Amino acid sequence: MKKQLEKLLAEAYAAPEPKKKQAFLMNLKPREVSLPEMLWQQAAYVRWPVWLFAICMMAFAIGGSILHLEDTERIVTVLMPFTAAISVLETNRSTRFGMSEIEMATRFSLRSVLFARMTILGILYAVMLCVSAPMLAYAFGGKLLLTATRILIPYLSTMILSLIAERSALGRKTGYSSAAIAALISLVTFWISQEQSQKFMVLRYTTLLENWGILIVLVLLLLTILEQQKTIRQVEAFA
Amino acid sequence: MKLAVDRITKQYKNKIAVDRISFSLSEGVTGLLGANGAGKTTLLRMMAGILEPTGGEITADDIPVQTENYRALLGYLPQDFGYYPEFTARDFVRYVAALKGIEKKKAWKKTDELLELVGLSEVANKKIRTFSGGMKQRVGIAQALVNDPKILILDEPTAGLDPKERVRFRNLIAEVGKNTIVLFSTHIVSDVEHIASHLLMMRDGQIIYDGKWDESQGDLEKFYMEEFE
Repeated sequence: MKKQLEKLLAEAYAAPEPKKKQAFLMNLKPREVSLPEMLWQQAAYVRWPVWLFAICMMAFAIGGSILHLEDTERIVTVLMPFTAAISVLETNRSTRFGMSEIEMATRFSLRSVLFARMTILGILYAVMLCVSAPMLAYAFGGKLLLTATRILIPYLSTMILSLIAERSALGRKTGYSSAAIAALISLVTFWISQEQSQKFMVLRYTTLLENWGILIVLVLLLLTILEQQKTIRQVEAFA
Repeated sequence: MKLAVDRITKQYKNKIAVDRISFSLSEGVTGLLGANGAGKTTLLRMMAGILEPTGGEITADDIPVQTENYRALLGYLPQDFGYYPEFTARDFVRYVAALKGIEKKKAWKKTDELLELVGLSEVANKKIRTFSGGMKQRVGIAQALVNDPKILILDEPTAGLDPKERVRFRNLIAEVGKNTIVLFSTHIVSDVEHIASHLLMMRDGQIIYDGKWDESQGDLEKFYMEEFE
């Protein structure tokens, strides 16, 4: 009965068209968006192959550690440059696909978008490292810091060189310079990890890492941050 | 709302692209006419806050162009724009809505309304890379309107539209202009002569005409051709 009455009333008294609806909507103040919300929002736009590659790397490191697969650590370190290249390519997508002008004119500016993307990918790979390094160190009887530096050095080196390359005129033109740099560093990492290569080196790679590994990582980390800042600063000058 | 451009200048090494331009705009459609290379795009990029002027200032009700508050008021359609290859029309508009800080539920509703408005609702889930030039341009128009902007800057928005789409687009802009400051750049007089309440003409980085145009002043197209020959 009540529902029928409601229906009859709705039919008899149709709601009037809202007056000055558009003007009212335009006068609403834009809501505040917090940094975590923005990160979450941008995370949704990081392409699935990026997540997949990171998950596969982590799964391989975990699986290889549990199953004691020979060369797991070496394969992880050799593949690390590609995670860095993917990360740089993902960060620079706006410029590559001509979206930068539209993104720059939105509320948060392209700098914030880039910062958010770099933070998301940074967190992703930090999680990957925090899981993989202890597993590998434990499984293969290595020292945790040594394993971590072994993984981080090729990653950070690729990151620095790729950021520089992507900012250069040639890098922007070719588009895939990061991939070439990753391939090169990957090859060098592979060569260094071979026992035969050690006779060409003044100091064994492992000895070098044991003595200077942390310092090398800290320097590379600092350089990475500086290059990321340069990329963020330069990006709006492209307009 | 008042959008004020005060002695704005952009200089690249020894070339002055925009030379001490001043004008102010209020709600309504303003047509920005000028030949290619006149400095229209440079001026619009500065007004959209994506290019830093060499001198001068731009404010909307005293809100400076370089602030987030200014950008919150803005809708911008660049002359050339790209898209991420995996994006559908719906993804594209939703993405811009997210960057403009619009709440998800509202953004999704607004996206569907705008795609309907620009006649793309049936292909909303198709990849943009399969679209014609005119369809891409309509997606661009939809993204510019997603935040109900108070300032709408359109750089050559009718490029790539067929005559029918052009008329439809003009009508849409005329409607939007009732509540919004619309600055519409073009080099085609017929794009703006019937909908613009205010005209700006640019040549060599300077404004050569600023004001209304009515029929008593003669044929606008003729005036334009004389000025730009």
